This record gives sequence, C-alpha cells and structure tokens, in this order.
Amino acid sequence: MPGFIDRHEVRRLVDNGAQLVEVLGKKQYEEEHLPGAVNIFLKAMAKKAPEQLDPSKPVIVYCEDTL
Amino acid sequence: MGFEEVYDYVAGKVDWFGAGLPGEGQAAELTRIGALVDSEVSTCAMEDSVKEVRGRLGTDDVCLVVNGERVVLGLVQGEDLDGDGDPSSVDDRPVGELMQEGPSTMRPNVPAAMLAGQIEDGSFPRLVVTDPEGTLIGILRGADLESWAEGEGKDQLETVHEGHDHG
Repeated sequence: MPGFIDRHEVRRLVDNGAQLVEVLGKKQYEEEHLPGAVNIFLKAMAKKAPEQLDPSKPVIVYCEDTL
Repeated sequence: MGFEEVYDYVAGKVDWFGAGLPGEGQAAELTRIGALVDSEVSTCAMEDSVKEVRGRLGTDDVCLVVNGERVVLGLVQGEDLDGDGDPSSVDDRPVGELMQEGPSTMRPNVPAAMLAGQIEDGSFPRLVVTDPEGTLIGILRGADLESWAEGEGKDQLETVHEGHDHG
C-alpha cells in the first residue's frame, strides 16, 4: 500500500534520490511532466517497473490529479 | 515487484504545475502567467481597520485580504471603503466586514498566451493568482499581459491561435 504524499514531500524525497514515475499516456507525458520523471503507463507497470526503476530507491507515482 | 518504498503523489500534475513549479516537455517552454505577476501587491488582514487599509490601496486601487499563511480570503477596492459617500463612517470597521469575499483566482501555470487569446479586448483589469491552497502568489494586471502579448509573447500567441485553428 503506497503512502500518500504532497508536493513538499515529493520535493524532499526527490532531493534525496527518489524516482518519479508518471503513469499517464505517452502524449500527456511528452507534453509536460515533472522534472526527471520517467513514463510508465499504469497498465504496463508490472512489466516495466522492474526494468526501468531501481528497487533500492523510493518510487513516487503520480498522474493528472486525484480524479 | 520488490519495491519497498512506494509513494502516491495523489494531487499530481495539476497540483505541481498549479504551484508554479517547473516541468519538462514540449509545453515547458511556454510562458506561464506566474512569470508575469506582481508579487509586491498590497495585502491586509481581516481585522485591519478600513482607515488603515485605505492608505494601502496604491495605484491598483486594490488590497488583498489574507490570513497569516497568506491565503486569500477576499479583496477590497476603494469603492468598498467609501462608506456610501461618507468615508469616516466606516473608518473604524474591520475591513473583513466590507471585503468582497472569495475572489476568483487562477493558478500560475496557465499559459499566458492562452489567457491573452481569450481577453484580447483588454476587458479585465487584474487577476488574483494563487497556488492550489489559495496562498497568494501575486496579481496579474491586464495591462502587463497585453504588453507581453504585443511584445515577447507574440510568437506564443500565434502558436496558440494556430493550434486552435487547426486542432
């Protein structure tokens, strides 16, 4: 179960090496994303996360908003 | 998947960019209204007296009413403080009783060209810009937006218009 965090915590974690993952589609990611974020579409997470992310570092996932 | 520390930033992009924080990508180069605001806008507290606030209105004829965390609660203009033609009658009243509550606000990540394209007739004097929590960032004056649109923002404005024409 992931922990819910706000943007202040996001900044703190990223400064300490956390990995940002945008789970939206490619088009939305390419238009604009958080600095340093990688794009892994939500449905592909199980397959691609182990390939693209370092399991030893914290991971922060985000999408458009809470809706 | 073996990930021990996973967090969900539930408020996501809307919150991040709405707070005026930077981004990467094709749209990251667009000028946002946050870059055009005047953050030195006049502010006051709800309990400040009308007499006190009247002196802070300045050239904008506006003072934003904020709390201790600079969250915008309302705004007052000169006409709100004139006591129906008898200014001294309201001198000692707290400005919170006369303010315009909950003014419309915009987030700083709105592309300036998009907004300029919608208000080309120069019909708005100013907009209050806040972060997603309502914390004051500043005021965007219509004159400043128009000036940007006629100068360095001209190319961005044309791009936005072309996008709408063809999209």
